[in-house]
This record gives sequence, C-alpha cells and structure tokens, in this order.
Amino acid sequence: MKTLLSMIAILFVLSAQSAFSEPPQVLSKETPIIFDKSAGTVSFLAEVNGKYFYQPTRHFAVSATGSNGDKAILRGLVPAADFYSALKEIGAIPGENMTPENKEVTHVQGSALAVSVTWKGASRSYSIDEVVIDSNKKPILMRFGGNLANSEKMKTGCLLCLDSCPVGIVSNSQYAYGALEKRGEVEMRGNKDILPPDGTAVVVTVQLL
Amino acid sequence: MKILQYAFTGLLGGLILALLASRSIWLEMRVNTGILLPLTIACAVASRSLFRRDLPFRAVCGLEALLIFLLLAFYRFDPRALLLMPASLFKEGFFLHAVSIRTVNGILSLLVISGNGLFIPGPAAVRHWHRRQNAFEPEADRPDPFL
Repeated sequence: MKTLLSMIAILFVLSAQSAFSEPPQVLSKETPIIFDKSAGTVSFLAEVNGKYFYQPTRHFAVSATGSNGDKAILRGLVPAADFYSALKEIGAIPGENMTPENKEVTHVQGSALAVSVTWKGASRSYSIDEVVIDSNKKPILMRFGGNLANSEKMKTGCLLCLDSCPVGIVSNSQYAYGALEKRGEVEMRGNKDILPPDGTAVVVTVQLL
Repeated sequence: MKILQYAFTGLLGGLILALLASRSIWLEMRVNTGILLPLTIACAVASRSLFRRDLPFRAVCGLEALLIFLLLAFYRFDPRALLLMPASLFKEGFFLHAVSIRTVNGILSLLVISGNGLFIPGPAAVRHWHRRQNAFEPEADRPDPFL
C-alpha cells in the first residue's frame, strides 16, 4: 500500500511538472532573444553579413539598429540592453573594468562565456572559433564586460566584439582594444567555408561557463 | 541624356572609391564607405551643370577597366566575393537594408548595361557626325553650289 501511494505521488508530481512547465520558446522576429536560467544560456536571432567574409572586422555581432549595425559578421536582431539584461538573468557577472582611457592596455573581465552559432539546415552548432578566422589562430575568450551605460550613450549596438571593448556588452579578452584596427596585431573575418550565405538567419547562443 | 551619362560615370567612380576606402579597416570601422557612391554620383551630376562638356566613352571604358582590375586584384577570381562586394557597398551606400544581395546585383547589372547604352550614338548624333565629316572634305570634291 505504501509503495502504491508513493508511486501515485511520484506520478502526480511528474504530471504536475509537465502541466505547469512552459512550452519551449522559439526565436522569431517578435521574440528575438530567449534565455534559460537552468542551462545558463542566452540565444538571440541574427543575420549573416557576407561582406565580412572578405573584409576584416572587429565586430562579431552588432544590433542592426545600432550605428555599427553593418560593421559586424552578424547583424543582431536584438537591442544591446535586452542582451545585457538576459545575461544578468542567467547569473553572468559583468566585469565593468573597461574605460575609454584604459581600453588599449586592459583586457576585459567578467564571467567567461562560450559562444556558438547554428542555423536552419546546419548539421550542428559551430563554436565562435570555427565561424571566425583569427589570423593568429588564438582562441576567442569571450567575457561579459557589461558597459551598458557606455552602450546606451554611444548607441553603437555592439553585442559581441572581437577585442576588449569599453562599449560592447561581451568582448574578447584575448586582445586589448585597438589590436585589430590600430596596431594590426591580428585580422579577424567570418569563415565563408562554414557560415551560410549573406542574409541567412542564424541563432547565436551564449553559455555561461 | 547627358546628365545620365554623368550619373553613370559617377556610379563607376563611386564604386571604385568605395572599394578602395573599404580596404582600410580603420575607415571601414568608422564610416559607411558605401556612402561614397551617392556622393560621387551627386558630384558628377553637379560637375555636368558646371562644365557642360561631353564625356568621351573611352573615359567610361577606362573606369570600368579600373573597377574590374581592382575587383580581381582584391578578391582574385572568387565568384562569391565578386558578386557580393560591389553589391554590398551599393546596398550600404543607398541604405537598402531590406533588399537582398541578389536583387541588388540585378539592379547593378541593369544600371551597367543601360549606362553603357547611354553612350551609343543616336541617329541625330550620327547625322551630325557625317555633316562634320563633309565639312572637312577637300574643296575639289565638293559639289559646286552655283551649278
């Protein structure tokens, strides 16, 4: 009798869980960003900008509405402030150590993040190291820099930058600011052999490490 | 008609300038290099109203040859790059964000074909040319108007 009761209780809990759990969210232009607290992930919608398969850039993803919207490998369909809030929701801690004064000698701090990209028809999810070509072949180390105040002031729309940045919400701590466009330490561009053609919608997933 | 010839020459010149400017990462990260296209077209049209000189077709051919040379020098023979780069500069320059690269390539092809067509002389121009040729014929060969 005891076993029967406990089995009924377990069945009740399981059915209640499935009844109350939210349906899986799907990204769309109306809902361009979602986050999963338990998995520690934020996913947002973006479009490929094929121009940066052939030109170097220092931007991985920039909000399409920002002033740098056409300067990145991916045009993000989400505002920078929403991306910042979603990262805070999953428990990421912003570094807030980058300023316009120290940017060229400082590497961004904050929670470490793994970035991957996938799209309709892709056989799997590709890591940022696969979709971005670093001429030095160094791994890309993304960190949650924060910088929401600078981002809202400058209105660049920067979401993920390829060198430490005082404006981008997330940036690459591997290089200090200016490594790409000022000091020429490295060149970065989209990997045309992996990424889909210009204009294709992709899903960028940022996972808290 | 002449103003359209100038506008087409401006388009070719703008594409060349935008292509060169976009090679500088410092400039490319700061400004919309594609904006050089409408600016050069505007300058070319303005220069027509200032100087009122006819454009020789060889000037257009020279610009086209330079554009092809630069595209091949920068992007080798990669057909994807050759189809994408001029179109993306045009798209950025004219703020055609919602238009696909395929459509922009269609527009560019039409502009290049019709732009070159603008320099094909019409019947009036051919008659004028013949009249000028006759004006330089030796006097002995001309019919005597008093006969």
